[in-house]
Amino acid sequence: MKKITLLVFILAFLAVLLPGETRAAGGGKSLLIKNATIVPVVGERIEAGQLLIRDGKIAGIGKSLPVPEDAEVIDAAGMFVYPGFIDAYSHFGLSEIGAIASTSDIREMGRENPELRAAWAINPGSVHFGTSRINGTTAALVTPSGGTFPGLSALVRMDGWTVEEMAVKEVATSLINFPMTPRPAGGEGGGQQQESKVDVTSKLVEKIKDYLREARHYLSLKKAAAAEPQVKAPQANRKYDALAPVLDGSLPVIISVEKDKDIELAIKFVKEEKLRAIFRGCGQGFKVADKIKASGIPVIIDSLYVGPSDPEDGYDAPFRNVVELAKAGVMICFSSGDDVGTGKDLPYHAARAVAYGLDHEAAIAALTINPARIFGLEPRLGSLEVGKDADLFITTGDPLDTRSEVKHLFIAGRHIDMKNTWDNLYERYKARPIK
Amino acid sequence: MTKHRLVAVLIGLFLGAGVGLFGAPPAERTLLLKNGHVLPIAGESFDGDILIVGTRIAKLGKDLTAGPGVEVIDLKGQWVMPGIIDSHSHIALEGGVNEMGELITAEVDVLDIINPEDLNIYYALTGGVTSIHTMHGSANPIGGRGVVLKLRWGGSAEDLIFKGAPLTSKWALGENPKQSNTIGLGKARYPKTRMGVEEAIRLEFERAKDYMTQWADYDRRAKAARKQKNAALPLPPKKDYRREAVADILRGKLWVRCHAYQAEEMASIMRLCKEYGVKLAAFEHGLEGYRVTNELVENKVAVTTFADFWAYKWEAYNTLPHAAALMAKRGVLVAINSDDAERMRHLFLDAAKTVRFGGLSELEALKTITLNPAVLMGIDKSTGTLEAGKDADIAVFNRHPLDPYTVCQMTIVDGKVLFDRAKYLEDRRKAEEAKKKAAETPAPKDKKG
Amino acid sequence: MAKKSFSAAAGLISLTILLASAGPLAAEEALHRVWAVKDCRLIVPGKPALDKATVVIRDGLVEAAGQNIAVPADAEVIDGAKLTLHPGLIDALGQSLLKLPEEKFDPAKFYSGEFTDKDRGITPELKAFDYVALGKATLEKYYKLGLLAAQVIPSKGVFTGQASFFSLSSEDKNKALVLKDNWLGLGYSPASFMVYPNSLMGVVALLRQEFADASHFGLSASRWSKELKGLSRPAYNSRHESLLDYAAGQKPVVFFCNNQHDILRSLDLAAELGLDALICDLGSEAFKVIPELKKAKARVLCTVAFKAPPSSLQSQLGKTEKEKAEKEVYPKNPVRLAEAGIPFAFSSLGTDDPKSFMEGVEKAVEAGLSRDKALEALTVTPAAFLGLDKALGTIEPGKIANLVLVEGDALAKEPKVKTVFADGLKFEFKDAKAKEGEKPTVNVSGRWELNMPEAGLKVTVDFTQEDSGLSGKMTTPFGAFDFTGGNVSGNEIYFEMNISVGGQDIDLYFSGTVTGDNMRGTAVQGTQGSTEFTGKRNPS
Repeated sequence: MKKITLLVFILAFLAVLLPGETRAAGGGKSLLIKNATIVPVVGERIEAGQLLIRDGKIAGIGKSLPVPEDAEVIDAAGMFVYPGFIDAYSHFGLSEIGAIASTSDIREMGRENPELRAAWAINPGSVHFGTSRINGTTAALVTPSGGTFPGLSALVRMDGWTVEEMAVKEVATSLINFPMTPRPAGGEGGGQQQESKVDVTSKLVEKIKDYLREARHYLSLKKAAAAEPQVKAPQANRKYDALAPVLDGSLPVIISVEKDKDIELAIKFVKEEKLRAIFRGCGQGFKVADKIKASGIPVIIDSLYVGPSDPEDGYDAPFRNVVELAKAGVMICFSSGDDVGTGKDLPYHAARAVAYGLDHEAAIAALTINPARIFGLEPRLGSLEVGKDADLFITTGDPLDTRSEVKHLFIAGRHIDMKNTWDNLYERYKARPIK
Repeated sequence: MTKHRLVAVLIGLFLGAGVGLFGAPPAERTLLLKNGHVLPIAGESFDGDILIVGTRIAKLGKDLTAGPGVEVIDLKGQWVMPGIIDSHSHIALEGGVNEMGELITAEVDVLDIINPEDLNIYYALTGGVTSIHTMHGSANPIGGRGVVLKLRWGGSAEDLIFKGAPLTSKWALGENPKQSNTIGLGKARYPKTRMGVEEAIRLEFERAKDYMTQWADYDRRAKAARKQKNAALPLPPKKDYRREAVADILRGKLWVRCHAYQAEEMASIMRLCKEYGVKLAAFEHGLEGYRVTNELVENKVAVTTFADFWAYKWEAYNTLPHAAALMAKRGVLVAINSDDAERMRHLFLDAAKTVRFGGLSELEALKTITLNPAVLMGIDKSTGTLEAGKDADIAVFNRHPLDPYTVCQMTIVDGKVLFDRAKYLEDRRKAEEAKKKAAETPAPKDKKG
Repeated sequence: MAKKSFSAAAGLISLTILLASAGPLAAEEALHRVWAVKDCRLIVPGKPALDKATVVIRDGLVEAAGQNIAVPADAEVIDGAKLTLHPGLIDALGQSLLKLPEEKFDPAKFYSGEFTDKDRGITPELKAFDYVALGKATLEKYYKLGLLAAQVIPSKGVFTGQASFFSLSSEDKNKALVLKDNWLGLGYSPASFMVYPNSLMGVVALLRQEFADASHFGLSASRWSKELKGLSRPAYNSRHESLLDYAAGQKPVVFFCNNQHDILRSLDLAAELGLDALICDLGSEAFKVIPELKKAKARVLCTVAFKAPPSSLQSQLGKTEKEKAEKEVYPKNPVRLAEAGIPFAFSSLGTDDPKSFMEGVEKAVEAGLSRDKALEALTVTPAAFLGLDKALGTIEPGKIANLVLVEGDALAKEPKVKTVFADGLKFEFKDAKAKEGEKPTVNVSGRWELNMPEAGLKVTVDFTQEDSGLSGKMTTPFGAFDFTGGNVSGNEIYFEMNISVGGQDIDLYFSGTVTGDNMRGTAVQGTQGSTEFTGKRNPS
């Protein structure tokens, strides 16, 4: 017995000594960050603080921690430690180059695809993970898009060999695209929203309700058939099956909606269908902020590189919207939106909201603890607390500031190599001799 | 009672400004901006004042005074920079930005389609932009002509034109003229390779040269015939507006602005332009320009590009956010543009990215949206920096323009305040109060019964 | 300063027709050649009215008009007491009388790339005369409103076609014709296919190049036929030939302007190319460019649909602003022009039928235009624009006898027209049952062509209507699709369908209003937005 134990010990020791990738720092070994300003998000900042990572988790936070001798140490003097940002809506891993269909797996054909899982198609090797996490994003909600029921999103970490490894929640939410949710005109010639004589929006909502009604009927028949032998089970329907957790409220559903009247309709819809909803977009949310607050539905703010939903809302409506929603007490979180190439801008969207009046602290919360709460991951993510996963980063300054630089990024306690395709190009072409 | 006061103000500003403002002689108007952190771009930044007389900056300095009757605006320590210049845009145009009916469309002209009522002009002002270069899209190897506009919101199409700015010819290389990303839509069209794209340009040049020769030949024979009595005048050749436009490129009357992404097409077109003696002012986007900086510098070609928009198509893939800074540091004249009405409203945010990605200094970063685009657009004698004698095109921010939390507070064009956030907020507040009141009081009976 | 707007040929034709109408009449007509309207109130556009006036008509022309006129012995007398007599109203430019052939929409073109001049919008040889339809019911509709003459023009495309002017006195267009091929229409309409010109700037470039080519053809052809030696003769080109008189400024062109910018473009182009141009103000924005119109001494055709153009600031600011402007600002266009002294005539383009046209005129009056000025814009001014001031526009000896006898005011809201004379031929309205009692229910069964200009889409729709139920099929470049639902209520129509294209499912919901053979409304696509559509019934 003793011999085996010794052998095991020697092997373990060797494993640690042997040169590995910089990703090591997991299993067994600890890492201490010291001399940093620690921003836990819940609770006060700690100046000249320390944070200990072990076994993928935050093992200690404080001014002076007991630290094992073999711990790796990072002296973060003059720098700040934040919980990793959570991007609340993206398509990372589902698309490489927008114009090239063969590289894109975001939109399936058809209107109803509630059973399709983004997790089946996310490419962990996508270049966009590497380029989007450089400003502190450690996890993101990756969603399919298109149609009325696009599918099931996954909450994944921004690093891992396989989706299985990356997924914090392989099925995080379902999605519904509510009627009339075109993005406001960002570019030239953005179409005029004509209003039709007939109330088409209500008709479309009715269609959604009809679909859900059918699903409920199917599910109750299924249940009855299981209980009683004489009841014939309905033919298997994967789409309706996929809606079961949505209909019983155990799986949240993200509803994309834009204009004030549609938001009101959506609130009514959510109530009637008894869904656990998260709104996304809500460009005119500020007009019905109290109603959204009363409904208890949180809001994912879409990319803020956008114009007002209606010119009458004023040129700064998108930013004012965030501020007023937050002021009304609505729980908000930020997202980088549909363009996988600008994932790194997540904190810059938050900065825009701060510029127009959002509290800096509220902005940070909306990037960390709020999305963690909204996606049911508060026990694991969203703040620097002992016992939570070590998803965090060390930055040179205010993380919302374009000029700050994230020097170290940790995902599940792994020290991530931040070098990405951009850095490679930069090194190479910087080196070309100038004539 | 107007419920939409804000909107009425907007229209009023537009319509009222149009009448009398740009028509009346502005020489008498004087405006003194006091107490700003001034970033002139040319010269050291300083804390002080700017005196504007008519449409020009008369003086910059500390403790400036002005006579009676001069309007004074106290900036209260806010940041002042030259009005932002967007060197690549498509706003203020109507009826389509691309003529896709044929391969070469040099004869079409955005001067014919200017729409001074485009709301995006106002939105650009809210982002501190005062001049833009607006042009044909990128569907054709040689497309139509482009023009520089000063955003004199409220003026007519004629008023918007930046007098004296060189006119441009828009070229496009790569996937767009090859129609690579719309395969299956409509009939396939030559060219389908970059070789074909360049050949299309060369062929057009040769045709234009033939055309010029034809006309020169006619002029000569007509002159001779006129001298002779009773000689039959030769028949003039057909006037061809397309060939004329291409001839203008060869004659140097138009500055070429060439949309290109990949390093090899940029290098090849630089050689072509050298061969024909054509003024290639800048590459548009040039996302792989960082690979051919030596050639760009040697040929004196600028690059007007994005901060970090990429990966939307293949030719935009092999690039990096550091590209702009890398090119600038290696001697290329680099401007940051929008190519999009929404992005135009926050060019200052894009400029800030070059500090982080590639390490440009703050001054160099600000140049990418002021002096540099002015130079490559040929308007740097008039605008792009804050200097006495230049146009009073000014943007005021509540924080340093490269600060992530900065918000544009005021935009001045030709010495006239065309955007004022404080006034906008006040008007909005009043409009919303009025709306609230109207909702509370019962509606009066309709007069018509 | 209108240049001589006749070419020799057109002048000759019109003269011949005038003479013909004064010549030997058909047997039936021969019995009723002479009329006298006694003791009426005679309207003289631009001058005070004459009370107790008498007008004598003989052989299609006015023989005498005024107070103290002797009634000829052979005249049939009409008692004009308590009635008003005014000159027949002129629709200065319209297309309601045009019945163009069914446009077979060929989706295969999309892929073959085989485009015709028609696809590009280059149809200067399309003549209104060849396609005008003057049925009895149609003429009655016009008479009821006092409209007795109309200029008809095709208005689609860039070189839209040539107008003809008719006095609405006969179902036989040869008899009704006054001026043939007298104006050329020029439009700012990019092609919907991927064919040149498919942008507005392409359209402008095409206008320049086409006129230059036509002039060059004219020059080469005339020099060759004169000199006959030493020159190569040009290939014949009928399209260019049809443009020659217009290019030379000898016949007028009319620019169809969608907004104020188009007006300025037109004035510039006319000056640049030496064209004799009129402005057709489809966007009702002429009031925004009065100084330029004055400087160019422009002649304007005012339309009366009063819809804010999409390019205008008001349209961009949203629905409320747009509707406000359409109620309060745009209908003032005519009165603003009148105040500025810009000559204008009313055109029915933009309205679907004569009734909407006159309702639009009424809107202009309600917005401040005096009835006198409105009458001028329907009589003397259009006559002047057409070069026909000697023949039409007022009731004076020698002029064409187009007269309207009404109870009450001329140009009242719903004129009580008793009798009209068109080319001296009388048409009397029997006292019809007062108003239209029930609401008309439209029947859209049949084939229609729908156009969604913002989406660049033209489709064919086959409707089958049974009572209020509506079913049908839409044929698009991407295939044919059956309706998934539809109904008709009053004159409002609704239908929906699902279109599959390139792997995408698109739901479309159409709702609109039907007027006669036209419909217009909105097409909504579930989650992406909406667009306007117009539709025209195919002539059966």
